[in-house]
Amino acid sequence: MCYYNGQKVSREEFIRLMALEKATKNYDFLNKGVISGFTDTPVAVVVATEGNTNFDIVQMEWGFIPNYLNTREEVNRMRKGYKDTNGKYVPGQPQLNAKSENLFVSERSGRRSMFYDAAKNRRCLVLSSGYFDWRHVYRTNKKTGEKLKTPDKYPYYVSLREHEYFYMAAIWNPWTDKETGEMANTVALVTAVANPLMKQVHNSKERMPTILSDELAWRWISEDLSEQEILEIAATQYPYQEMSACTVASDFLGKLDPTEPFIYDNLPAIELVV
Amino acid sequence: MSQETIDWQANYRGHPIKIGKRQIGKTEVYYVSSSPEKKPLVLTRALKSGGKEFWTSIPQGMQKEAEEIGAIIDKLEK
Repeated sequence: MCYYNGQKVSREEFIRLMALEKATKNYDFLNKGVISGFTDTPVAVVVATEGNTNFDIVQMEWGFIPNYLNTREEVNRMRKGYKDTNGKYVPGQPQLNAKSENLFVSERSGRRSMFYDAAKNRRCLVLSSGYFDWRHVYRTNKKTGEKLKTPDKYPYYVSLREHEYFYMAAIWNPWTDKETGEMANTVALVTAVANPLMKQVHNSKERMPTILSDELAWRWISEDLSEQEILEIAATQYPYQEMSACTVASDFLGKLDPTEPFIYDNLPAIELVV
Repeated sequence: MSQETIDWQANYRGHPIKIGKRQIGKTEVYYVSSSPEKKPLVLTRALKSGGKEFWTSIPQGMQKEAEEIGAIIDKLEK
């Protein structure tokens, strides 16, 4: 429980008011309909203060930069992709997300993960009012009856029914450009295996952000957790019954209200028979 | 965000005040100015832990004024 202006308020309400302070003062992030990981817009991040007795809301760059990258040029290569010495294209890895399964050991290499230190020591929360994901639907070729190779992609706006704002588990890393001395706090969202709703919405990857309840959110940023506890919280699947997913226009990014529902006539409804 | 747009004029403790209503995200905030030289007081409605609504200043520190001017806004919005 927290106090704001002498009044007892929930932790969630406290965070909302703290974020509102920032929005009315210096920043505009509560006024932004969409923050894209592919632009430079900073995100609002909740971090515990020293001693873990309170928390603060700060801005960070979305896209985890590991310390083995030395310069912005190297960062841009990692994020956007590049051609290696043999001329082979290496696809970009913006590191917007960190899979919960990868926090300590890399699934790919089986070695210590680049997220290890951050997962252990720099856990934070990204404040959100909702997020967008794409559902892939494959049409069939009318002549052959075979699935087309390229899916139609339908954007959905996903939010929580009872919460105007909610917390997504994240990890952060302070990074310094060794040439220019530029310093940046960078953050990655932690993702979990999709719940039954998100399995149908984000059906290409079947992942979802790790959305935490007030209680788990506080534990995530403020407690000295074991690796096992970190992995358990990181793998949290928010209950699908408390979530809402609604299709939005394909050009939602340019809309005044990007979350405005949009109906696609041919899109089959999501089925939730569990 | 312009703070010049005025939605209401009222009197508070014998002084004229100008009140502007704005939307930040899904939240309504109110800018209250008593003089062009002073920074406006920002107010909003918040929820106590029991679910009851209360007026608060943003940032903290002007709770008395928030409650008193909030009551004026409540009447103006009726």
